[in-house]
Amino acid sequence: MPAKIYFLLYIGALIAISTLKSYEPLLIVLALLLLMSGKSVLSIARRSFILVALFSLFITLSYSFTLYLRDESFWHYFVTVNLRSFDMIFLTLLFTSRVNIYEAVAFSKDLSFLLVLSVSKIMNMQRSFADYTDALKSRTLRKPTRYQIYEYLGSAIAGFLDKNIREGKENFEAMKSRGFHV
Amino acid sequence: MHIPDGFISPSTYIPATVAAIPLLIVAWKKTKEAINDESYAFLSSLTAFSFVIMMFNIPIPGGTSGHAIGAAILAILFGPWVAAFCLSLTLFIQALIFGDGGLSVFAINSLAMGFVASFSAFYVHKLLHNRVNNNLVLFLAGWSGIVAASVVVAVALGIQPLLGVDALGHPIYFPFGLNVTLPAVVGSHLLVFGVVEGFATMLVMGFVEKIKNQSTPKGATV
Repeated sequence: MPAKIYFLLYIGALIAISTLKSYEPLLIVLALLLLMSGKSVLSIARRSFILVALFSLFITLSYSFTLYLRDESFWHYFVTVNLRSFDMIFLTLLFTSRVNIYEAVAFSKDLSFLLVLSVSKIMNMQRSFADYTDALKSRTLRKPTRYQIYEYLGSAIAGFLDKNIREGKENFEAMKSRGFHV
Repeated sequence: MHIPDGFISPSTYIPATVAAIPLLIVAWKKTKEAINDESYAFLSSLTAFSFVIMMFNIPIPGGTSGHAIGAAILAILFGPWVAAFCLSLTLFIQALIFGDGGLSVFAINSLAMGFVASFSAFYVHKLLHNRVNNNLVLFLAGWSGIVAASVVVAVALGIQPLLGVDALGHPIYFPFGLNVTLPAVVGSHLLVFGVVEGFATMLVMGFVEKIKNQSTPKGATV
């Protein structure tokens, strides 16, 4: 089946899950997703849990606590909202691990090309950022002052902007020299 | 500020998606007009930049810190449509490839952090440019952009108890109303994240001023 069809099915499933308002059908959805994920079940579940914990748990715990203080039942809300978030994130991660995303969102040649270029640059930038941070740590003996931190951040962010623009030009020249015209 | 999947009801994110799609198409067209045939490599560079800027944690007086989104920097340098498009593309990549933010709420995140932040920052900068101290203008542009975006996010979250309820009338999406989201979300952006964005805009634009003579990209308005 073409990736675009999978993408439309994924969007449909995402909307369907977002309409579910009780945990019973969400548990059935979760069981289906776990079955579909096969060998990658643990890695996807771990990533989904981390992403849910970053935001959903904090909000749902604080609201559940207010319900508890009012002597109202909080389990339904807590389980349903976290399970829905978990299912939606799990579905997204499963989709991205099984389907070629660039092919799936290739509704326009220009946009899909831009997406591929952007993601590859983001990966490069992530590596550069990690190198930059490690290099700074290894060269810093004393705790920097707030002014020094600001100076570092300003130069680092502007440096990344400059690097990006220069690399953009180089990439364009490289693409042109290989006969690529959009 | 990213809203994750599962907290916004379809009755909110579907209309938001319908509103965002034509805006994104216009932004894409305006972006292509604004920056010639180098656009693909250049746009991907700006998108990577807006992704990277979210990785820098900036401390502010008071002992806390946060990250900027770079809307004001991109809007001042390349115009609000280009900034809105690049930020939206970044949010799309974060949602789909990194699982951060969620695709169902992409439109709301894009409207808030892409469009509202970029246009607010751009027009605040345009209005105050050459009238008051340049550093103050840059700070206010960054600060106002992210605060305006936070209002959109606070409203989107705060109306959920009215729109998404279960059979017993209890909230089943985001649970807190506007009386909580407006002070919590907007308040934290007024006092913390807005200050971070303002500082980032001021610092980065200061360094951009220094290097702009070496490499001024086509489409840049500085």
